[in-house]
Amino acid sequence: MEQLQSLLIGFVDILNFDVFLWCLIGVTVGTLVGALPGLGSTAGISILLPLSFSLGTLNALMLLMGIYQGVMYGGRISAILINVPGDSAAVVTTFDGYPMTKQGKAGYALAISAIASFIGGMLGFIGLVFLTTMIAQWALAFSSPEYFALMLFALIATSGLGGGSLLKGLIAITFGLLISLIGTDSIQGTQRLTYGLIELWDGINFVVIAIGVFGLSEMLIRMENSGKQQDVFGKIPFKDLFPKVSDIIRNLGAIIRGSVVGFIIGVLPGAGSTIATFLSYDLEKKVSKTPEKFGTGIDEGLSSPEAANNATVGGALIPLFSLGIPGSGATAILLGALIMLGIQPGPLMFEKSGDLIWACIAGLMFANVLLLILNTAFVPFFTILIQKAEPYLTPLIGILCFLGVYMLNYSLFEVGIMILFGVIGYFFRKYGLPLAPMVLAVVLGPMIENSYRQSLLMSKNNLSIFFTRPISFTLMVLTILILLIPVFRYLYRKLKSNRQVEV
Amino acid sequence: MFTVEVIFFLALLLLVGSLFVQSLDLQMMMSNGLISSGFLPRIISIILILLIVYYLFERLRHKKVEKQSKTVDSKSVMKQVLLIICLFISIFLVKVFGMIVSVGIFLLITLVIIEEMSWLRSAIFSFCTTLCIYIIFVSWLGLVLPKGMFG
Repeated sequence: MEQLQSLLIGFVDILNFDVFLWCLIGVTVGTLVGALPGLGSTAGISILLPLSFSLGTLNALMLLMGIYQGVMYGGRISAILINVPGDSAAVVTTFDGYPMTKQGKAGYALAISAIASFIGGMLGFIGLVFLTTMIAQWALAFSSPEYFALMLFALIATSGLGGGSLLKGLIAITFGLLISLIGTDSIQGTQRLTYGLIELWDGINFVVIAIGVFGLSEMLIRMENSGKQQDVFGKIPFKDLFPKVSDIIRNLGAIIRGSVVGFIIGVLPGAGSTIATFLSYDLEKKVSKTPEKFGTGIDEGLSSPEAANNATVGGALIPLFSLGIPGSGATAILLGALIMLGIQPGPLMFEKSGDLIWACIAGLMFANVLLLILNTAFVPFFTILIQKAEPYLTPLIGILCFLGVYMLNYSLFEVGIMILFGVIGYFFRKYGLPLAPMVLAVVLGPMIENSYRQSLLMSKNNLSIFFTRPISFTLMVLTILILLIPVFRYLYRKLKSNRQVEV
Repeated sequence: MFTVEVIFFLALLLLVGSLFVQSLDLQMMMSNGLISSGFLPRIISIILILLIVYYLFERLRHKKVEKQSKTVDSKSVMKQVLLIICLFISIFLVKVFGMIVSVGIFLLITLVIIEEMSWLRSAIFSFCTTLCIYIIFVSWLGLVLPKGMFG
């Protein structure tokens, strides 16, 4: 009940025109960015993040949360209409969404997916409201060794869980950690890895890196793919954008199942919305009486993954708000943004900045309502924008990256660093090195170092401190298990092939 | 494509190597036996060097298998290089013409050369975007952007 009371106070706090305006700007821009093929939630938030630094804390939070949610909603528009997913999480949306468009049901597909996204988002936020404070209370018992073990676990989990190569993930993480060490050592005050440049004394701001590797590298990738023809979709009748109540009730089971899967996956570090959507699609196929119809434009194949996608938002914010540990690229950017806005996420956040955080959670719910309206009634507007904005997008992203980085500290040196990281990010993408773990490492690097050194200070340089405390021991064991996954896979394959030979 | 990949990883190795050399100037342990500011930079850079070397070794072993990966046409590469050059030039232009004018010039050049649009269409779009940037960032958000020779 205490949580509901705090949430109500949060709603009262956001009842003003400024907050409403910035939330509306956030969800609109977020939806547009999400709808543009290629730009995912992490890239969208990174590019638009600097805009929030000139605002008040609450307005900035509303803008950021609006963008985050808007991007999650927007990804489905291009997936349904032109078979090009806005981000990786929207890949599953193309399976049944695009066939619906080909059948002339684009409006219905967009509307039912928007409603599924809305319900998924709301269920995710309800989970966020009740679980965050509980976990935060539990996390009050955490000390440096537990934090170190938790952050290490989060980092390693993001490196290999996405299905990519663990080696590439580890290269990305260690590179991010090394970059995070540039600048002044916060414990001893020594200058490290600065090449004698005063500009590097404060280290490299994570926003500069995020904008470079997500924003600028996206521009370079787009230039390779330019000129590719996209399928044209027909006109969307306005009445199709408002499905019947019976249609919604028919999809309700799939939506709730998808929401539960999305929420649970969202809480896990490294899993993310892409895995959530694939899992929910798979689950829906298994429980369906007509699994053969999946992929031909079936409602459940669209509504369940969409609900899962948006339910991950609430889930992903739980470790961020309660422990101060982001589990994905987008939440890593949000963590950095919260710190820059003067809020330190973690167990003490509800005591120190409780009013702001409850207002932020209320804002998330409010943004969800705005998004439902935007993504049903205003969908034709977004579809026109997707088509018209395409040729101007590359230079526009460039300008946003340039201005965004400059506005951070009014430094052209940082713009140069951003370009350098843009090139590095481009090659990382080209050769399959994951960007999210790298940025996560940059954000978590200083915290990991501090908790590691504090732990060793506590134990007088005895590394066993990480294995003698129950929570840190469990987390360290889980981390080691993740690192051993390739070995298990190898052994499993060998065992399987041996059996086949025997047969 | 394979050669570019090897060159990139060698360049990355060089960067990490230079950071490792930098870390050698830092104290590894304190007199009381606790780790000092140079400990983690040295350890992490060594781990990264080992990982990159292992990756390169693995790639060279499987060179033939992945030789036919997707290649980028030379025109796209030229455009990418041009874009990076344009961005670097814009940094210097900001000092001369100020932020708003430099942004306009960047947009115009990239639209004409990279997106291959007509001069008129590009000029109209650049002017409108620059005006929007001025209204949003300077007039609305009250940010002070460099004015260069117009300041």
